[in-house]
Amino acid sequence: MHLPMRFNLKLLGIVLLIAGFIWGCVDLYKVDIQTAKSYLIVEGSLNDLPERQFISIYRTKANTVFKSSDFTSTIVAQKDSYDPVRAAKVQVVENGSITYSLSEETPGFYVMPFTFLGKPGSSYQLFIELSDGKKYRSTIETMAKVPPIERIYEKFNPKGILDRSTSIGNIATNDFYVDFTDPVDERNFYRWSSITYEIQKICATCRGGLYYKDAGSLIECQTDNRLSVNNLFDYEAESLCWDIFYGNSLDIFSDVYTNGKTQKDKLIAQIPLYQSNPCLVVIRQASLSPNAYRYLKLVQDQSINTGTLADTPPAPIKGNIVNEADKAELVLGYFMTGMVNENRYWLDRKNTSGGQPDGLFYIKNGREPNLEPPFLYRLSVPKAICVNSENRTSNSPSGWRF
Amino acid sequence: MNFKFLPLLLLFTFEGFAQRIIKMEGTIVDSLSNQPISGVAVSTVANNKIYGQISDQSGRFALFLPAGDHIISFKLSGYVPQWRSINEKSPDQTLTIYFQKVEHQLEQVIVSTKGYDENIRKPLLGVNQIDIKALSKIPAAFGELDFLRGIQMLPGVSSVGEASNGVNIRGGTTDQNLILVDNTPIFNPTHMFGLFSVIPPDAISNLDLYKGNVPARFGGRAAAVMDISLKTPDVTKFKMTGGLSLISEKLMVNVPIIKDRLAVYIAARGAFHDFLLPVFSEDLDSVRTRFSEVVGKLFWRINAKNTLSLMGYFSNDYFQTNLLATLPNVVGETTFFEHKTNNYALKWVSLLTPKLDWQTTLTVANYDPTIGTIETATRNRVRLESGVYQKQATSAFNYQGKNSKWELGTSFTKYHIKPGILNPGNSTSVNALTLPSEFSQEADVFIDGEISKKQFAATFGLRYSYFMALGPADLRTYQPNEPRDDLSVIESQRIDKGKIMKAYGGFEPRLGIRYAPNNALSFKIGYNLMRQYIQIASNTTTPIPTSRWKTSDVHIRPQVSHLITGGLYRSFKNDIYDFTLEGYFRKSENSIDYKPGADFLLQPFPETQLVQGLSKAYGVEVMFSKKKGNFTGWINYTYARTFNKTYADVNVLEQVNNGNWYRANYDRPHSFNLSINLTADKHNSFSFNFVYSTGRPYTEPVGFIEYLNNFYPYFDERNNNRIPAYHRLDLAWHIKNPSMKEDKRWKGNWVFTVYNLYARKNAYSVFFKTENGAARAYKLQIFGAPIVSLAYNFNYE
Repeated sequence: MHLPMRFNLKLLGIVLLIAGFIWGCVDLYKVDIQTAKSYLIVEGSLNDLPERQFISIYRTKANTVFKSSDFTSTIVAQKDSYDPVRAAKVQVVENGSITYSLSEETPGFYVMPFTFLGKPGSSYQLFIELSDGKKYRSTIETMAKVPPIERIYEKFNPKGILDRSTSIGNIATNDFYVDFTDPVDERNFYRWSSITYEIQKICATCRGGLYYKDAGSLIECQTDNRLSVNNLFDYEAESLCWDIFYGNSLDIFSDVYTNGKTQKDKLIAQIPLYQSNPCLVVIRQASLSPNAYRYLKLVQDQSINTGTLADTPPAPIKGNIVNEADKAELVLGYFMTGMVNENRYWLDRKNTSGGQPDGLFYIKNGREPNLEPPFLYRLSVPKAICVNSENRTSNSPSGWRF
Repeated sequence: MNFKFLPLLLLFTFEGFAQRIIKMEGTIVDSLSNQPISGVAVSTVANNKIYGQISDQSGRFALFLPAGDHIISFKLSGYVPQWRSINEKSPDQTLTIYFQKVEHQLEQVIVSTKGYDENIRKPLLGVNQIDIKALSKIPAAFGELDFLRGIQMLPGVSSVGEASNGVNIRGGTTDQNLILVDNTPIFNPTHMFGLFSVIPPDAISNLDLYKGNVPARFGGRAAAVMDISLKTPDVTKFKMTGGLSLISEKLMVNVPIIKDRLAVYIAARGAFHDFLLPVFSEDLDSVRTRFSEVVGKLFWRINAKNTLSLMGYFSNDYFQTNLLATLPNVVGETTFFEHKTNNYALKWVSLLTPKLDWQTTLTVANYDPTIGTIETATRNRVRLESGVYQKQATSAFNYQGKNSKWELGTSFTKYHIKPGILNPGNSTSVNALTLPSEFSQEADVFIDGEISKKQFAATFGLRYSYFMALGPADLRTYQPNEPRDDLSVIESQRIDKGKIMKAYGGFEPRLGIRYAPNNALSFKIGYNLMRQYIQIASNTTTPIPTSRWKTSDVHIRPQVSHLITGGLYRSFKNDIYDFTLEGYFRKSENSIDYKPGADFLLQPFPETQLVQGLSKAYGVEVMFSKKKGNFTGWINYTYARTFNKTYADVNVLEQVNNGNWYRANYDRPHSFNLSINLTADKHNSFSFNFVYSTGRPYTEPVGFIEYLNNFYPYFDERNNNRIPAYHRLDLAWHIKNPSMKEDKRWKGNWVFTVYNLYARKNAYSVFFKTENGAARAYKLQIFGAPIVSLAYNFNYE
């Protein structure tokens, strides 16, 4: 009897050790962080596609408090933590000679002239002059070339990812993989991003009121005394309406070990199964400059690849934008340029299981839509306008199959 | 130290006055076997002079003492010390001392701080000698005896946490400690990312920890020395020891080949049980972990004056998971770590005269770490291999004078570093890549002396080290006022093979003075300068096994550390109680730190990722111990601080915390350790540990921003906050020889251990993670629950 007992003890020891060692012992930790200083954030990436290109400039507020929330421990700002930087003079200089002036479309949001189209091989430099006279400039960024995606395929992943933006937590995904051949004669740095267009049947919700299409003002919901203040009515879209999802993973790659070789089966996006309807997935393979790659690698190391025994302790990451008068000022963000190779992939979701038809509304809101009943409050219930925004469009995306 | 090879070496002091001399002679034998015991230090102090001798091979000794009352002490590591009193009126005496092995009786030998009673050895400061028996009493996680965890119970020794790959001694980094196993350096002291240390416990004889005065014969590291001596093979009899714990098996076999002349032992420990993991959890399917180490040692007593020993040490680690980050920029899902150490030492000791011996040592140390990725589709292994190789020859004369002791020696060292070889295996996606090797060599001469006169004693050492970084190499010159990077290179010069690219040299004085107004009290002060030419370039909290070693060159200047120490030692009641108080201040020049965002992987020019600066550390250590009796133990408190600062001439963009002083990763101001050992009866004893220390610094974000469709933390100052304080209680229950039969050749012991008894969830790190649009803070715990374990050890003679 002696031996089996030892066997079990040993097993237990190993399991305890490994379990504790790798994943068993990670707990949520509550923080309460007060930002003392205010920092400038500049985000923007120019590419060679004929689309609207922009630079956004914000400033974090000093004395903002970031706290872990009580139940989910998600870190949230206690109040609005940014101010858009308005009325700045923003310019991009191409190859040291052509100057493009950006116009402020919405507060803090500066758009390149529509005539602009980035050219691989050209260099770009960003200049910002704030209204208080402070001048910032980026380093000169050269738009590198990127090879085409040779093969793209996807696999259904029932385990999926933890998606806290939804009401259900873990969600199955379609995982996208690419093959590409790295050019042999140059150093290459890559970044992948994805944009997903999902059909959304419901595009307005009124709390304590009814939806009027011809209300004549920006607010389409009008309070109705017959309804409780918390009553929710949802309205179907009058036309086709797409919700736009921007992939939030940070997928980057350098050819430092793989120059000139074909890369196969590189996982580059995980598209959540919000509903069983087909959707359009736009996969972008873009080039990065060496320094932009290093910057994003650090962002990744400090906030995504963390929690191992061998973490790199975080450090301030200096981007490529500096205050001309005070080089030690920490400016957040990076002015990037990159050539883009785009693949518009029709994801029919025939290989999936568990998704609901028209299930997007439920997943995002945690409840089924509650349509206003006909004839109860008025003769006809209107259909809602699909209002275009960063996250929604009524214009059918290129590549959509009807 | 070396005396165990020299059983005949006599340590005489003579009384010069015309005074009546009494003679005390005798034989020391083992209380059970009646075998003579050599190497026992027999000593006493009379008229402020030390009278001492070491028992010879037949266990005999003879002391000539001035007439008077004397207390004679008999001491040997592993045996219970004894004291005999001699009376003024006694005639010349002949004694037979029956020496008991520690394991044969109740009294314990514990970790001792060398105070006045260690009068055969040097009056150094900050030296702790740790006997393996003492180490085995300390409750250990999983019952695996561990010297690195053991020494953390001493004041002034700390670490960044339970998965720390090494310890921090008096404000030094882990790579500033020289860890020697029978004179060969250990570059990676732990298995499994810091969980277990790498020496087979059965083979350890003792560990000398020098954290204050370091003898001049040691060099090459800036903070401290851990000198681990392996046991010498026993030429008299066959012995076997071994054990089983939840993690590993171990076995040591000692075989005399020619009785009294030639013997060999092999000691091994291994942990190979990972194949069982998937039985418990599917998630563990991908985890593979195993480690092992083997020590072999051959001892040959050529004749009465010459001995030769040959030691080989081999250590192996393998760890594979898909739960850790992969080798960046290689497409694959599973990561593995593999590291190997192969060390060899050949030592020849020749007794030239009874007072003079000559020792020559040749050592080779090879360390080969690998990190790799298994490609998903093909299961091909892509390996990033590296290596550190050191060869050293040392030769020294030891002279034992009347009131003095001298060592004069020289050594020559060759270093070869392979910083990285990317081996794609059969991969069609990855290129082979080899970074050029780095070559360097070092020549040293050293002298150590020790003189004692009345209440004063002094040790002084002087070392001169001369280091040469050699070609072949590509030597870059950078724009002086710009950040050092690929863009600021002015020129690159080819240095030919064997040509000296850069040389550094300098003296390293070591001084210790002791003043002892009486037998029970002494004051010591010391000054130490040490130079370090090889270091780890790492950007992680604790170096990982694959961290890169880098020798000094044109751009990386050697680290120079100055240490000033002072101490007070008081013993009470015949050395039963000990009180020590030590303070230190340490300043290091050219200490290295990584630039914000540094990356060393396959980096051909690590100087572009490093900054140098100053480090200062200071502290006060108080320790009180009870060394004898059924109840032994110690309690200590340390106040210690360590700060770093980048040099002012470093470019502003590369400064850490804008060039201000900042806390080191391991700056933990308050530490408190309590270790108690209770002997209940002949068979049962209990040990308790309690440790407390301030949480270590970590870098907390100063805010969060929405960026690239996600929510990311941003950071400003390094080490701006602390993780929660660390505390823990451990218990061990030792059951000795439960069969109760004293004279059996086979003796079995059980050790039942509970590590982290009250289940404190100590944080190892606090980190921030961005996941699908939300950020959260987490704490990582290594041992968040009580770790209960049982180990069985046996001894057969």
